[in-house]
Amino acid sequence: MQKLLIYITLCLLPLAGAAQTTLQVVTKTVQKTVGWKPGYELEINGEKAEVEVTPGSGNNIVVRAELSARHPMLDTAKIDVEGWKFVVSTIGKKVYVRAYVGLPSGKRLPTSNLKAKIVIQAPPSCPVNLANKFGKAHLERLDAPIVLSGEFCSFTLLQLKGSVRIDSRYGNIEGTAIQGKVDVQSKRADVALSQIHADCAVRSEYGKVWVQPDAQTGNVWIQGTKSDVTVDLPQPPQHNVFLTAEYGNVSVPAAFQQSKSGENTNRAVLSQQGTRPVLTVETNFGSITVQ
Amino acid sequence: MKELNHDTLQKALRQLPAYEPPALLWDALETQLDLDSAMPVPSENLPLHTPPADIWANIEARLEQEAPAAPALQSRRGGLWWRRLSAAAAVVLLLGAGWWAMRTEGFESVEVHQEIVDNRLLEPLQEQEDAAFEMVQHLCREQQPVCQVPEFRNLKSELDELTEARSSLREALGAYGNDPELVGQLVEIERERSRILQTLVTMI
Repeated sequence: MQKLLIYITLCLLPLAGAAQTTLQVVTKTVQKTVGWKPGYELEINGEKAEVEVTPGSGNNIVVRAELSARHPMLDTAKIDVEGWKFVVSTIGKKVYVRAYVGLPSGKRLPTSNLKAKIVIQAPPSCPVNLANKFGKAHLERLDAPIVLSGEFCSFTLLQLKGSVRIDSRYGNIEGTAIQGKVDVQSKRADVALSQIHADCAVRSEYGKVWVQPDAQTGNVWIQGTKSDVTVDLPQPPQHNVFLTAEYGNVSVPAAFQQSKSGENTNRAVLSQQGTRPVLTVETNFGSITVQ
Repeated sequence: MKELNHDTLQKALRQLPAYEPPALLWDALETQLDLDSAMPVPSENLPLHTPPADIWANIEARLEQEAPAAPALQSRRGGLWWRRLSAAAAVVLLLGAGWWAMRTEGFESVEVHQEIVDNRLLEPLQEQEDAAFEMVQHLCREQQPVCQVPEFRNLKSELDELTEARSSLREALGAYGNDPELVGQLVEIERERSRILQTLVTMI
């Protein structure tokens, strides 16, 4: 018995070393439903928010927000959660959803960690404009054009039929099965795109870009500044490919024709017969890899 | 109205003491005005007023009183009034339907629970800035020659950009941010800053 106790104590010792903090989490849940008509747009403005937009049923926009404050002291968390302001309103032809931390004058700054989780169900044909800082955004199975901007906000896009325009700083972008035109501008963020069924443009600075074009992908143009670009070509390749790397390496399969222009510029070309979409990659201080 | 003791009143008014509002008051007012202009008052926050229940009975009673008093007028203008009433009813119906379609409904609730956080996740949020970063800032404030070297300047501006990003991310996370993804990003920024700092230090 004594041996067993020693054994259990020894097993628990490493756990005792991993210090933990208990946080009191106060969550205010708000749900609102607002009517929608064709021609109306959804304008989402979030802060410290995880936003999810998926298709709903009927001509309504249903918004559910979980606004929380985390702090070791329950009283502090309770006061700080009141700093959350959540507004759903229709002005003109725009339905605004806003979650922000509002500070009445004279009140102290919240010391709790504040987070919002916003789940929105919108009609698939409702255009969405979303801006978010410090969080995540997940958009799925929507048909209308989408415009996104974020800072420290990662984007996940799945099965979108409309055009997609994204401007992201410090937030990774992952897009799969997008039928509309894609336009990405990113800084210090990684971009991964696959199953794009239209033209696609990516301008990346200080990041990694990974693109997997297929037979349905239109023209692709990638410009990387201090970014590494990887293109995952299907077999057989469907595009005519033009690669230029200034102050960077180009790594391609044997079918490509490689050349050097000057001392610091590497080029590679894959020209195929017939009219094909064009895939162009231009980088400086970044490598290009085709696999 | 003529003021009988106009001169006395003016004299008394001139003798009243003047007070300056505290400077902080204007800051508070400006902040409040900025907030108000940035966020228009949502319609759902406006107060709702329900008319008293007997108001319809009063209207009906008055209509009944007025009706027998002008039968000839009614017969002459009846068609016109009927048309106006129909139009008004249609407008009210349309507005009502619009409101019904675009109304906002909802509910609100509050709950409390606990979360256990690994302290290692909170450590990056509480780390102090390394003195070497301040040394680089100091060099450039003093306009040392190395700060004029283009490569140094480029790296320094990159470092400044990362430092700004680090500050805003730390501010957003607070002392108890437990989002592994954002904390991971903070660590990555810190690593990138350290890499640039090392290069800058070798150039000094």
